[in-house]
Amino acid sequence: MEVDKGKGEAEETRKVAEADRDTVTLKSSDGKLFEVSKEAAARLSTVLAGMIAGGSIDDNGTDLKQIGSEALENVVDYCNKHANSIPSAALISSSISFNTAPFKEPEEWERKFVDRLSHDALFDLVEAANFLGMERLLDVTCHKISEMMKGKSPDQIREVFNIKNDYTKEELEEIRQELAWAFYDD
Amino acid sequence: MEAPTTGDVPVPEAASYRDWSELPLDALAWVFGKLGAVDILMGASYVCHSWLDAAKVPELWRSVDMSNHVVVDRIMGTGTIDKTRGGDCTAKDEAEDGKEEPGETLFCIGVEGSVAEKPPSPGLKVRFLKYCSDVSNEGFSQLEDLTLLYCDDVGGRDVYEATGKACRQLRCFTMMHDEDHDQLGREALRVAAMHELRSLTLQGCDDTNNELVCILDGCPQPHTLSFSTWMAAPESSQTMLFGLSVLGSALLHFPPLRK
Repeated sequence: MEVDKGKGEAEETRKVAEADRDTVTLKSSDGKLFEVSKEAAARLSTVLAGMIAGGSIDDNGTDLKQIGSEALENVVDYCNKHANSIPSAALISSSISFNTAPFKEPEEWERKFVDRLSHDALFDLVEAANFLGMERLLDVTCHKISEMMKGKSPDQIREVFNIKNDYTKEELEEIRQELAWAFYDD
Repeated sequence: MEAPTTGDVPVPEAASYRDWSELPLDALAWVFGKLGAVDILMGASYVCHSWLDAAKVPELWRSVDMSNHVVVDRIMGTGTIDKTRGGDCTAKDEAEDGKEEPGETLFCIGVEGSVAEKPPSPGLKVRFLKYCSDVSNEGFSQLEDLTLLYCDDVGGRDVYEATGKACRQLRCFTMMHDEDHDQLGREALRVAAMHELRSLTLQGCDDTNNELVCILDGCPQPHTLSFSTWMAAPESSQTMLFGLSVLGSALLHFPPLRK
């Protein structure tokens, strides 16, 4: 059925076809493929937006070697949900400063979205969001993590997050003195 | 009342197998940004080395809000200050002609000592203090916006000059006191030491109209002025109004004329 076409022409046809698609295919580190709304991906991820604009999206699955399938599934799920529930791009702040950027509280569905995640899945999702430059997803996941930390002692935090205490006694004392400026009461 | 249905939402695992000390620094700093200063300083920083590194990201310390935190309430509860007022922070000042009055020190942000090697405080642009009895003006060379609410140790004749010298970038200065406070005296002219000042708000000050005129004369680039509860009535309104004509906006609130 195929007429013999020059390679360049075939390439062009492929590119046009790709440009017409309204989804992009992403491939996880373990080789699983996921479809995501192109509009949402470009809007929510600076990295994916760059790849889409730069034409480095592979029709057969763009390799994201740093992201496992579970995390990528969550990313894609988030993008698609976002595409359906929030049409406004104004949600994403352009400022990247931590404290001054107006933080919009997670929507109900976003809260549910992160609440169902295991600790490990949350960790992977934060890493993926960070890697993909997804500010809003970082906001939502980091908000969840901060809620898990609030009011807890260092020991309690280590327990929740499976962190080994890599300080020596002397180092801890040093930090205490270093941070004493905040809480001195002499 | 029915319990909310969770549907097929899986219950999160209790334990974590990932090593959270390996979370990328950017992401950690993002988390800490949501956490607030008190939890960073009392919890997160002590967890492990990599978390301490994230806690030192300068962006986290451009603005510090320690109010309405349970720890602040607790510490404030031990003082004589009414904790229902909510609380904040900070150090000590050289107000009152250099003599320091004893008082409860609640918090200090960016005082001497630890500041030198740490990025947080010197870059601080905005500082908001409320009910702090001991306030320092050191280590705030970048400060652009200073608010002192009911910090009763701050005042006296040198307050403008000292503040102006300590905070050379200051553009906005707000000071309020509960009761009449000897804030300016004849030293009002020294407001000129605040070279960059655009906005000045004073409330609960015991200043006379002459001093207001001095402020207007001394304030090099005024844009917004706001005063209230003055003890004196505007005697030379004309002078004053002339002074005010350079302002972008002004809010003056005078009490009834007194003898």
